[in-house]
Amino acid sequence: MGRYALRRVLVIVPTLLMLVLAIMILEALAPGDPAEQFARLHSTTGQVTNADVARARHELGLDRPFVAQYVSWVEGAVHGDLGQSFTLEKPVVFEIDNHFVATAELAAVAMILTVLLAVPLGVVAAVRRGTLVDHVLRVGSLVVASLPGFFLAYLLIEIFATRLHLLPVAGRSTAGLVLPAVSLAAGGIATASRLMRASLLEVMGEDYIRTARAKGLTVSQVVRRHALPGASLPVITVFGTLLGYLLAGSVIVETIFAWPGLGQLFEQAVTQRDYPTIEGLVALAGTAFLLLNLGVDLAYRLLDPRIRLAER
Amino acid sequence: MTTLDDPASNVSSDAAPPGLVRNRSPVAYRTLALWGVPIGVIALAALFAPLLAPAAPDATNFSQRFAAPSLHHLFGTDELGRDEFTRILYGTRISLGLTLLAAVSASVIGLVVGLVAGFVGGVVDQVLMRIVDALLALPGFILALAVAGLLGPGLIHLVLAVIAVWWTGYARVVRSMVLSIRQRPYVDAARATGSSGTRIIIRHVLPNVAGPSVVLVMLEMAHILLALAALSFLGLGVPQPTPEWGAMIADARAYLDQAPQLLAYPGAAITLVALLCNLAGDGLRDALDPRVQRHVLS
Repeated sequence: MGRYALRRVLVIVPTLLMLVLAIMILEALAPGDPAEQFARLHSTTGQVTNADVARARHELGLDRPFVAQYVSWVEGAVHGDLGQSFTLEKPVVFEIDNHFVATAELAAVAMILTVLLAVPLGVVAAVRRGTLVDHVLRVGSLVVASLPGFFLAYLLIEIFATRLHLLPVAGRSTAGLVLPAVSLAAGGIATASRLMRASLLEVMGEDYIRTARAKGLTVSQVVRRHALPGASLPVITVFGTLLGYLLAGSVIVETIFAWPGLGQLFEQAVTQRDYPTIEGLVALAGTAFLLLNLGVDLAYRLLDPRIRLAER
Repeated sequence: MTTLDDPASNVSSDAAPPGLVRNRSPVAYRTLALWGVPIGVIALAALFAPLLAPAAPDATNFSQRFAAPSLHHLFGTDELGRDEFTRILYGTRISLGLTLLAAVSASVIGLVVGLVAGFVGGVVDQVLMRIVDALLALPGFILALAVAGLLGPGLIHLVLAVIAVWWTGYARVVRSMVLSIRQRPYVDAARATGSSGTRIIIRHVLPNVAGPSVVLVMLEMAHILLALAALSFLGLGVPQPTPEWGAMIADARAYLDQAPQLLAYPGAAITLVALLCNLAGDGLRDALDPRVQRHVLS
């Protein structure tokens, strides 16, 4: 177990280096020139000459060979320096720090909402499998999973902000947290409740459940004492999937609700070709995603005696 | 964003025996037929859009801006007086076409990479799988956003962004299927009788991997459709005045007060098609998974 964990942690580093390399290769191959944009931004007349662009390219460090750029990024990253944003002209680390709390708040509330709703919904659907309740929940979760997040966000704005005037349209406040958090959580609730249902159903197909039924326990006793403990394990894996949802959804939701978080920062960085910010955020999101999935895997191994025993 | 290896999709390498599709139950056919029909109707409508549409998708009419739905304009008109129904119809072409193109391309690339990695093994396998791992270290949509943003505008760039992200999941699943097929007696037998590696891949491995791959593509269609719409909503990839659903929602934002229906039509269109894809995929998965059927409580 210890050796396994160590190996998995060590693999994260090359994986991240490869990921950033892939992004930098893409930046190098992509059409469009951030140096020209940078020069234009700093030009007083709005006109830029080739010399201006060349100067900007040198200033941004884009005139160095590709390998040198990559190596210096890695060297900086090791020392906690992710470079200087092209457009905001502040250290990327500073920008990340500035936007981190807003995203963390939003993601935490969305995560809590998801767990509070998805687990009971999944259990009810599985226990009442094949009944009207199951069908309604199943179709409902499929509809929500099929709703584009940005469309849902505008539906919520139209209903709760424009028509009913209950909640603000945008901006960072406690009331302003409700609509983005719900928009962000919806897809995850739909998916997680289906995962919960599937995992409970899978456990209920196991031999020990049949044994429990055969010795005369009622369905509800079987679910409570035998199925739920077994089914709660796979649900841990949901957290890995959920973080993916939250990271991806935050870009859209933060943009729509003017929520000053990392998602918005990323969206701006991508549209403005702010390479250092893109690289920094990709590395950060990758780290979070890999660490969480590793944590899920390790928790799973710790909690599931079958995997532990199989390794001996 | 759900990845291919999420625990809900039982069409993983362990759950899916090779030859899965060949053994599918009549229920699977019925599910396919049930949801395939409406998907087929929508696809036909997209195909014959020029014949069905009452107007041209970019024909503007400034005296008819924001017209309410009527017999003449089934869904009303937009901010430039363009017929909304026509634009939704043409949008079907774009959304379905791009989704299909992206899904098929990604699965073919994934299939080839997975076959090579799984069958050749060794250094080739190591290198290919480390690349896959690196690309899977980000939620798919984030990576697609970065790729689409860096490539700049253009429908084909949008598709490339989605392909760049989605092939990795297929590659990983196909590879693990190949690894299990490689150990089967018939592969040993083929090798013993002197078949070459290429022949074994084409005659023995590919037929067994192809079926589950088709199912995987179907399961991912809705995700790809939604990702494409979200990217174009963010203003990536789709140049004006292309009637793409995500871009139409983005355009409609400015006129929410006057004409909220302009947001509703493309939104409903995306939801409907994604829902049909999800229903087809979901039903197919249940029908193909024997574990769901031999269930104690049912």
